[in-house]
Amino acid sequence: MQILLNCLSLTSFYLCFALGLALVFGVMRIINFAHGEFFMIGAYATYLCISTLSPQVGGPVAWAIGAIVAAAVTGLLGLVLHRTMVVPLGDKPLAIFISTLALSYVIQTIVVQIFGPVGLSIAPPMRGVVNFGGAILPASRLVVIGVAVVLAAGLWVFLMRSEAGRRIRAVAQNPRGALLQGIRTEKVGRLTLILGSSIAGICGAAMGPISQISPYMGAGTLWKAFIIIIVGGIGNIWGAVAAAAIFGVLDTLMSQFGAGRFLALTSAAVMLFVLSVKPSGLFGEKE
Amino acid sequence: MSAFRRDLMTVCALGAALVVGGFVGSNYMLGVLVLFGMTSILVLSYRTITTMGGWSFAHIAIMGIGGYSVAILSKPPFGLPVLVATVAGGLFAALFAALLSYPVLRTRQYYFFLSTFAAGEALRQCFIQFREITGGTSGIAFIERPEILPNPSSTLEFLCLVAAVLVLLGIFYASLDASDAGLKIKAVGEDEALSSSIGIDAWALRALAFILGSFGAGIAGGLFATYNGIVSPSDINAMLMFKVVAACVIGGTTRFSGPILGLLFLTLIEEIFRVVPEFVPMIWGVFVIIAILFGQWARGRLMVWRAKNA
Amino acid sequence: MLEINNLSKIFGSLKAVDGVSLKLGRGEIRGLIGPNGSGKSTTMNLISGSLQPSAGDVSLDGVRVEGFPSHRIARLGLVRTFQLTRVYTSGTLLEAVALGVRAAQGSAWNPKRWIPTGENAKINIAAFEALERMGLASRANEPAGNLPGGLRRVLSIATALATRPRILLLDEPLAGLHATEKAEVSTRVEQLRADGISILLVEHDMKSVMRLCDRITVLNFGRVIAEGTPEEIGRHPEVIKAYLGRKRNSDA
Repeated sequence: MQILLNCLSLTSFYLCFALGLALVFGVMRIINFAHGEFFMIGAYATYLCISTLSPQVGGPVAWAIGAIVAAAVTGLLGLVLHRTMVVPLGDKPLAIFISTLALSYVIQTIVVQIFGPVGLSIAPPMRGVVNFGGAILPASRLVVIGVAVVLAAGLWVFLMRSEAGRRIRAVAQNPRGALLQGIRTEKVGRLTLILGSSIAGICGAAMGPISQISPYMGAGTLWKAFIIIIVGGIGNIWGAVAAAAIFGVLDTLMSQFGAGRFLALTSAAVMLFVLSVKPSGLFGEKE
Repeated sequence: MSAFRRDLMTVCALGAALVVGGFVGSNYMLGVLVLFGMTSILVLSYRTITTMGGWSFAHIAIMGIGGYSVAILSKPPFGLPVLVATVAGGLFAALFAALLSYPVLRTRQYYFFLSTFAAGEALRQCFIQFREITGGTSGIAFIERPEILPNPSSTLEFLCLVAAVLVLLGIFYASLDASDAGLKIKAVGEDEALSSSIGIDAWALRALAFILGSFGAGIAGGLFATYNGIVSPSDINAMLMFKVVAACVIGGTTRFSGPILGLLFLTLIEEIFRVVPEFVPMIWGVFVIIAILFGQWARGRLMVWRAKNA
Repeated sequence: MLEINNLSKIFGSLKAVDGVSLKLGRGEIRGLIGPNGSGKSTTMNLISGSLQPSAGDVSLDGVRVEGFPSHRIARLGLVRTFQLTRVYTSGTLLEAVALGVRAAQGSAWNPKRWIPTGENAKINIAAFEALERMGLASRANEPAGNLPGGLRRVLSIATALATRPRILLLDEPLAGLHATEKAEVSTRVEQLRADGISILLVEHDMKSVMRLCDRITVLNFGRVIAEGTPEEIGRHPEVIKAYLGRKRNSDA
């Protein structure tokens, strides 16, 4: 039971982190290297909100405000990114990748200047542990699971039910066809990037309280998200969900049985194996 | 003057400039030049990989293979001469690239840089986790300088060695670039489907570029290790990878002079902002973004200009 | 020379190519025509190795080649051009075609190929000859990127020719050319036939197809609906129906 809970908790984190990246990648075929930094900014925004507001309104409310602020700030960053880089460099995925990589250093440096390079910790908005038939789960981890479920379900409903979601799916499947149907792909791209970035920010808000926050926290997690996207499959958001679950379970089991030090190696081995067998990923379609 | 000769001249001039600079410059300058020379090897070998149309993000991790090979092979029980160990390090790096090329080279553009990035990061984790061999986070210390130098502790002599290796590898890469294989590698980089359709084995040539480029990275890693006297996972940092990529982006990769000038530019920024090193990555980043956006803008203007004059 | 039997390709639930068979003799120009979406390009992709067939076989001089990667098929003497023109645009026309000459020889793993050699003159002569055969010799030293679209198609044929193929698959070589250019390229294609090269030709310009081809195969919905000389095809009821039916649909 404890193992199951741990699996769930880790899967939720991977899912949260990879979801925004997979959305942007799946729809626009671009990789935002600064996604990790957006995540980090979300965590810092939450930190600021909690440390200033929690005496007045209490921890949980301050955290909720922090999450909204985080989403707004990172969404705005996504908008700026779309304007300044994605639109001008539209047909050059490599140029976008490298300029977002450069952007990630710019953001990192700025955050180091403001908050210092040392990690900070956020006071958890929810204290205590929850008991599940003998297994325990800290409440703040429950928040992460909740956020992941809400995000994934919300995104699913949005993509499947709403008009904007339908447009996004059309562009993801066939950008040229969508254009012919009168869908303004640039607008869809902007919405997607704002959405994906906001998800990164919310994820930062959720993760901040359970781990130390530092200017380098995004970069350290990003490679795992890359592996998840690759294994999940090109342009397939639900593939990323499945891959997050696979690694959530695999990594928890490995740590449980004392093989935690080989995590990176196994993750990479799984990725390379999947690439060898099916270069387009487990759930990807061949391009 | 043919492109091949121009590349040879670039490499020889760079080697000569390093040595001359070493003789006239201060001690501090000497250190900068050694780093510049070693990074030049990285950048030139990286350029070779980019000609096949893929930007690898595993170059620095592969460099680490060279560093660890030297650290391990030059000590007992192997006790190989440092230079021999360095060459072996280059070969190990090439071998690793060969193994990696089967899965990784099946991927294209975004997938290629994602998968190389992840593979490189995993390799770095391996250096940390296999403590019995690699010494974990603290790495392996007390690596000797090459015995071949009359005075191993002299930085000037080491600089001459770096310059010599740089020129040798530069000649190798320049001739590869102008050779039959090099022309085909560039053809694959330009249009893979067309190249396959006329009988070029695209996969083999991409693998060739990746393997031979990684050989240079391994050699550079060996030089870094013996110069610093220590290898550790912190050598394999994202900053250095970014520096190499940025040099190629800012300078362009068509000819050898591009990445070298790009690297020179980055090094100048690094030295100008020496008192506030924490800002260097940001300034590099800003210049990379400017270079990319400006390049795009300039290409657009050029097309408009051509259309008007056609 | 080229023999395909019962070739099929299924995409999901769609049978893009359904049991196509044909034989191409030495020095023959075979037309492959049909309405849009009838499987012509897919057939070309299957023969040249760009796509793997779901069933059926392709033989070159009795050697089964289906499932081979396209570069191996090219080395056996079957080279194709693309419907969306592909040419090397980074250098001059001569350099672009010289890559065709080089492509046909040498392995990547031979270190002798890693150093510049003195055989450039020989390669340039061969490349120039290929340009001459397609009438582009006068522009040999112009940048390929400046070439107008129609002539890029001609350049792509010259690049393919430089590999000294025995069989050429030409995908709409006349598209985007005006009448005089069409006539000139057609004459040059006829000259290639006279030199003993077999050609499988996909083309929409019916006049040129009727003039050039020795025999014509007509596809519709992935199946062969007719095969014969241009005269026979011209009065074949099913062919007329397929084209007219399509026409009526598009008018509606």
